[in-house]
Formats: sequence, C-alpha cells, structure tokens
Amino acid sequence: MKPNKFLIIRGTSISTGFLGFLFLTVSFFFSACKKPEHFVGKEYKEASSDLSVLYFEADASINNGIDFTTDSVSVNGELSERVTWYVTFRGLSSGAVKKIDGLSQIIDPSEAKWGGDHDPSTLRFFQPGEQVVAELTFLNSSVVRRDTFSIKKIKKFKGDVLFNGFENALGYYSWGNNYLFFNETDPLSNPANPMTFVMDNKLFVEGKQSLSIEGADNDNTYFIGGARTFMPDGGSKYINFQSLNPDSVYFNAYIYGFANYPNTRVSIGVAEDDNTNGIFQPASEDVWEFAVKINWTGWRLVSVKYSDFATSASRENGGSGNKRKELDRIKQITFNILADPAGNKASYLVDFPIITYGEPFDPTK
Amino acid sequence: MRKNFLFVAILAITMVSMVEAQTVYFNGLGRAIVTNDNLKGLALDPDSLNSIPDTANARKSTGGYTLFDLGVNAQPGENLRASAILRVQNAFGGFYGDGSFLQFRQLRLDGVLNKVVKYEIGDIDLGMTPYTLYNFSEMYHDYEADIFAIRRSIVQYENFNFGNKWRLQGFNANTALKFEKGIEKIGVSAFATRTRRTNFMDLPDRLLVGGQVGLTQSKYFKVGFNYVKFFDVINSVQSPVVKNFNNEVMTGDFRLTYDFADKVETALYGEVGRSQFSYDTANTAVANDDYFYDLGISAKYKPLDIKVFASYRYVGAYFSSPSAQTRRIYDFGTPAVFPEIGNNVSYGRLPILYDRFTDDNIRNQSIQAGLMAYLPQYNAITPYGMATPNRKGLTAGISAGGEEKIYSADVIIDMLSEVSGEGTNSDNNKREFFGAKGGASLSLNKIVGFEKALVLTGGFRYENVSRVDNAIDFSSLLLDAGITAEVIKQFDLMAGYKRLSAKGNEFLSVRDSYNLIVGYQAYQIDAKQDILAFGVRYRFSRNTFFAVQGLWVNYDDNVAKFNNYKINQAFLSYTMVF
Repeated sequence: MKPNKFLIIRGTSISTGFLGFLFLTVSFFFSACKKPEHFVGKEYKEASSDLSVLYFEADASINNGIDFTTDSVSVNGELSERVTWYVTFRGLSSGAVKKIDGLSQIIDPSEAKWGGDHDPSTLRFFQPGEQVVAELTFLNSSVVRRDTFSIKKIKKFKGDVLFNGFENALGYYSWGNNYLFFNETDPLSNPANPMTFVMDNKLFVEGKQSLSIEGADNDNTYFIGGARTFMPDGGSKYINFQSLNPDSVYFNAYIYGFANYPNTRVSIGVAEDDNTNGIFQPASEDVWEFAVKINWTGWRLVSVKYSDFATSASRENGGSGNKRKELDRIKQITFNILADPAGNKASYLVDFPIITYGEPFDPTK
Repeated sequence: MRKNFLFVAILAITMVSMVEAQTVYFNGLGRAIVTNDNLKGLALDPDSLNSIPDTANARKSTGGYTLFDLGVNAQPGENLRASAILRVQNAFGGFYGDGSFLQFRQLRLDGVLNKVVKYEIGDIDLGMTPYTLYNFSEMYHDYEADIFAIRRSIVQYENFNFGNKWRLQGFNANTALKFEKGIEKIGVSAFATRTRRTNFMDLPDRLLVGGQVGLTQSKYFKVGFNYVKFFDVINSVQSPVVKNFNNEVMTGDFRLTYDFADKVETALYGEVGRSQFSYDTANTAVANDDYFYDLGISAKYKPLDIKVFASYRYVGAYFSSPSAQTRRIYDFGTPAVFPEIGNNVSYGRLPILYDRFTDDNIRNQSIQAGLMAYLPQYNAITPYGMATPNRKGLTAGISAGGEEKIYSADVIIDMLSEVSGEGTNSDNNKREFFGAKGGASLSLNKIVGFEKALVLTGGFRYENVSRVDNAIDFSSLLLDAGITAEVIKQFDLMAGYKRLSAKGNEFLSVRDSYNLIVGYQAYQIDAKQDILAFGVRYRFSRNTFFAVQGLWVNYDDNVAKFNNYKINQAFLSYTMVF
C-alpha cells in the first residue's frame, strides 16, 4: 500500500503517540475555555439627536447647604430616552471633582447619590462653604444641564485626622476622646541644621492649607528636623487609637515632592512611652519610623501599616527601647525631614495626615 | 648583545600571546543631526477662526546633537565575550562640550557554557511569537519612501527597536539537542528579566520570565511550546496598597511544509494558546482567563516567487499578553517639536503621523501591564498587534518578488469582527473590521539595465470600522509614495509623500488598572495629514551617509479649522557605522 505522502516524512512516520500528544495538548488549551460573553465592559448607550432632559435636580431639599456628616446629595431626573448619563460635581473653590454615571431613562435619587467624597485622580477634597455645580452630560451629546448648591459641612472620612489636617495648626485639637497638641513654634529640630516650617496656602489637597517643611543638612547627619504632635508630658495620657493591632493601624498622608529638591526623605516617627511613666525618654524608649525617599513631583498619597515601621536607627533617639510596637502608649507622632544623600537641602509639603483602621485611606469611601 | 636579543624576543612573543589570548575589537556609530523647524497655520494666526490667537508658543525651533556610540567587545576566550556601548552625546547649544553627557547605552556578557549552552546577561533583545513576546510595528510602513525610512531608522535605533524584539535587562540561555534519527533537533531557551524596579514604597519588582521548547522533526515539520509569565514579586515591598499582578501565557505552535514537484511550497501553520491574568490588592481581586487560536495555510509558486496565504484567528476578549500587546508609541504622548499649540497650555499638541517616525520622545520602551490607550486613525483594527483581544476573522493575501529582486509587492486583506460586543447589549453589537494594505517596490534600474539605482515605492493601508448599535462608522486611508534616484555614483536624489486621512466616529474604551473597561470616550475626527519631503543623500558606504531633507507637514482638521497647522523642517544628518 502506497504510504500517505502527508504522514510519511523522510522515511519515518509520525507516531500515533505523538499525534495523541498533540491532540491532548490542544484539548487542554480549550478544555476550560468558557463561551464568550455577549458583550464585555460596562454597558453604555449613546444619546440620540432627539435627546431631551425633562427634569434634573441635585436634591431640592438642600437650602442652607448639604451637611455631608449626616446626609448625601441625591440626583433626580427624567430623560426622554434610556441613555448613558454622567453627573459631575465640581467644587468651584477647591476644583475637586466627583463623577457618577448610569444608564437609564429615570435618574433614580435612591441610587444616584453622592456622599461628599472625590475622585482620587483630581486629588483635591471638597471644602466647607464652597459652591458646587452638578452638571448632567451624556455620551456623544452636547446636551448639558446644571444645578448648584453649597456645602455646609464636608464629609468626615473614616479615621482620625492628625494635626487637624493643618487647618488650625496652633494649639490643641480634638482627637477622639482626647486633645492633641501641635505647636508650630516648637518644632523638633537638629540645632546644627536650619529648618523652617510654615503653612502653605497655595499648594494643598484638603482644606485651605498644607504644612511646608524645609531645611538643610549642614552637619551631614541626614536628620534636619520635624513637626510633631503630642500628648503633654506627665499623667497617663496617650494618643489613643481605635485599634491596638499594628497590622490594622494605617498612617496615611499626602506628600508633595518638589522637582528641585531631589534629595528629600520624609519619615513618620512614632514615639512610645515604653515604661508608661507618662514621659517619652528618647535614650531608653522606642521610636518607630517609616521613611521614604521622595522620588516624585507633585502630590502623592502615602500609606503604611504600623507593623511595617522600623526601629529608629539612632540609639540615643528612640533606638533603645523594648522593641515592641505598643499602640496603647504613644506619646508623639512626628513628620520628619531628612536629606538623602546627607549634606543636602530638603523640602516637602504634607497635608491631611490621617490614621485609618483596617485598610489604607481611600478617598472614595 | 645576545642576551638583549633574547629578552626582546621573549617580550615580543609574550605580547603576541597576550593579544591572541584576549581579543578586543571595536564597533560603533557616530551621528550628527541638525533640525530647523517652523510652525505655521490657523492655530496661531490672529485672524483665524480661533478667537484667542496663540501668543504663548514659539514659531521656530532649532535642535540637534552629535553622538558617538563606541562599542567595546572583549573576548578573553572563545567561550566568553563582554561588550559595552559607551555613548557620548552633546546637544547643540552646549559650548565646548558643555551639556555633554556620558552614559552606558548597553552592557552585555555572552558566551557558551561547556560548548552546549549559549547565554547572555545584561541588556538583551528577546522575541518569541506574536502572541507571547513580540514588539509589533507601530503602524504600517512596509512601502514607505526611503527618505522617511532614514528618519524612522534613527528613531528605531535610539529605542532599541531591532526587528520585533524587546530590549530587556536580564538573562537568556538557549541550547539545542541534535539527534541522528527521528527528530532533527530540540531547541530549548529560557529567559528571566526585570521590567520594573521596586520603588521600595508601593511598587514591587516586576519580572518577565519565560521560555520556548522547539522540536524540529525535519524541514517539513516543526512544533513548539512557548511560555511567558509577567508578574510582581510579592513581598518585594511592604505596603498595604500594593497590587500584585500576575499574567501567564502558554501557547503551542506548529508548521507543516511540503513541496509539490519542487515548484509549489505549501505550508500549514498555526498557534494556539491561553492566558491567565490576576491582579490582587488588599481589598480587590480580579482574575480572567481566555484563549486564542490562529491557523493558516500558504502556497508559494517558486518559479515566479508568488505566494498566497490565508489564516483565520480567534482572540478572546480577555486574552491578556502584555509582552505581545504593548505598543511602541504613546498616541497621547508629548512631542518634542512644538509640544503645545494655543494659549491654553493644557492643550498639548498630540503626536501626528510626522512625529511617529521622527520623535524619540513618544516611544515606549517598557512592557506595560495594561492595554495602552490609542487613537484609531493610526491603527483601528489591530491596535495591539496580532494579539489584539476581542478579534476573530480571516486574513488573506498575496505577495510576489522579494527584497533582492526587481520588484516586491503584496496585498493583505483583513476581515475581522469582535468576539463580544463592547458595552453594547443588543443583537448588532459587534464591531466589524475591514482592512486592506499593500504596496510595491520596483527597481527600475534592473529592468532597463541602468547601473545606478532607481527605485519607486508605493503603498497604501485602508481601514474601516463599523457597528450598527451605538453606531460606529470610521475609516482611514494611508498612502505612501517615494522615489530614490542615484544620479551620480553614491549620490541619491530622494522624494517621498505620505498622506493619512481619517473620518468618522468611534468610542474609545477607558480601562482601569485591572484592564477592565469602565467607561467610553466618544471620538470624532475628520482630518488629514500630508507630509512631502525632498532630499539628497551621499553614501560613503552602505551604512555611512550624509543626508539633507526638507519636509513640509500639514495637519488639516476639517471640523475645527482653528486646529490646523503646518510644520516645515530642514533636516541634516551624518551617520557613520563602523
């Protein structure tokens, strides 16, 4: 019988075993393959040329301004057709933006709600007292409708805000059931290295100002200084947290890096009163630190778990404690500025430092 | 006297032995470029339709640089070679070398272990199949004029676009096992590279590893297995916000060839595979897997050098292969020449056709985890190469001739559609794609018997995208024409023309960091771009030449005429390769 040309190659035949292997291989690839979906991605429908807005309102009950600590903005509307719609809330003072969207003919106020958060891409937080424009737009249409209202109180994000967000920096500010102290005239500083910190009302993320820290490492020790918030010495008062589990406590802050200060390192320092005598003693008690070199320009949200903090490298200043992370005896929290490499100038801004629990800070929640 | 003679002889022998034991050779490239650009158009004109004339941006710019890449290759033994390319570059405007910089452009060690395993360490160029590891070309330009090819070759050199390989940093090893009967050989290769270094804060190290096993049974039958894994190294950072990315692609490919009567060479070929993707954060986990297949057949009539081919492919909507789907160009990048137009500084000039083959700045050199945004006028059908997800259909074509022949020509037709509709839940929800591209290159001198070169080139690419529901109707046409005439020995006159026109509407997908579609951007265009170029080139040798060109670039937006502008450029280049 004449051999089949396609199976006999150079006098040898492809073994059935090999063909079986090929069949199994191909079968494997298709074995778990699912039937393709009818459509992928978020469903949308573009507006027709006849689209009209029958009714649009951003919560008619708002008269004196929305209080986001107790309430949310509901959007109400009716359209001439089922279409993809977008409602963009834009703060006229802050520039903050929040966008919600849907695909429907009726904009249902029970579903189209805004609780005062903002889109992370724009970074900015909404401000108390500012006017907000709610703008209704559609996919592939020039039809626009607007409504305006004001914000009486901004959203209270989950967590505890440190330094009062640098809005009212001087003196005491509330912290849970306690009060913390931040004195901008009493920074933590290295006497050999000049350092300044001032409130910056031009670059900020939340509220109307941020904290600017700047200095020079003249003595080549890396450390320039820092801004600290603390419980006063004495007594048994400590900075209390909603959790004592270091894996659940997150330190978050927005840090601004300057392109012309590429040698800046920021560190968050947490000082513990290990022996609970009411006083933090740097030579014999712990300071836990998290340091990061600023290698970006502009604002960036930095989040870190307390369990990822490392012990201070200085034995005289927080490196000689009991080496246990104890959140029930925190006396001070500091934003430090360092030069990296040593001997350089450094500068950064910090805004909205907040402690969160269970997860990093999420401005959309 | 006799002792002195012996000393000199021994010294000479020793030096010769040292030189022979360690060979050092040099290669490299030198280049000088000068450009002078002039910007005009309604976008700047105070009397234009734009009520706010541009008073902020420059109308002229001059630039250029000299650079010298010195390649040093040291081969201390027959099994090891170390090579480095040291670059010295001086931008024009620097005085007496001010503004010069020195950098290592490439470092590599390669060699052979035990005469069995070849290896490379350092800066390496890697490529596999179009669905696994492949650096696909940014746009169709097979038959563009030589005068444009000169510019494109500069940009490709600067961005390490050598063929369809990716320039990566890592390690690669390969070996081949040969057999005496049954199987000709089995080739095995493996690589490991790092595509992103951790920032020690919230971005972990990202690695690309993989390998191939290829079995060559004979010149008639080959089969292979390919694997690529692109992933984040868990715990290379301790951060609660870190996202752990993992993507694996496994494919098998084969090729069966057979000659009929030594005149017709037929081939049956294909590749089939699947991908698995997952992306985890502290709060979210996204995972998807999908598959593809691509099967083709070809036949070549050898006496006339004519080949016909057809293939059918299916690429699932969730097929994810970053090392094959990453684009070479940022369509929304910032061009180096006239980056802004208009008083509104947030309105940056988007790169146009001219920037795509002249501008280094808008090129991407790193493999991206997500699908990059793109503009449909430059590639609407396969914006992510052959591995573009959510495509199925037929590709067919015919080609004739070849590079060393009197002519070469081809035509390729694509008739594809989406596998799943995008965002549209109805019966007519899938995009249909039709594409036709091709061209010809003709060496007239070989036909008429001239000694000096006279080459004509012409090419085209037409693309159309349509959809019934959430209607889409988009088409673009790219035309290329060129001539190169060697008027006296080694001295060429060159001319070239490119035109890209695009009209219609599309919906551009907006994807999140998990590559899922979360929104759409309505896109409308009715614009054309023309590039006309004339120039001369003197060829000192095959790779050393001096070229002067003038380019006239026109961007016409038929809808928003105040966006129209022209760029006129004078370009000088001296390139030396040794």
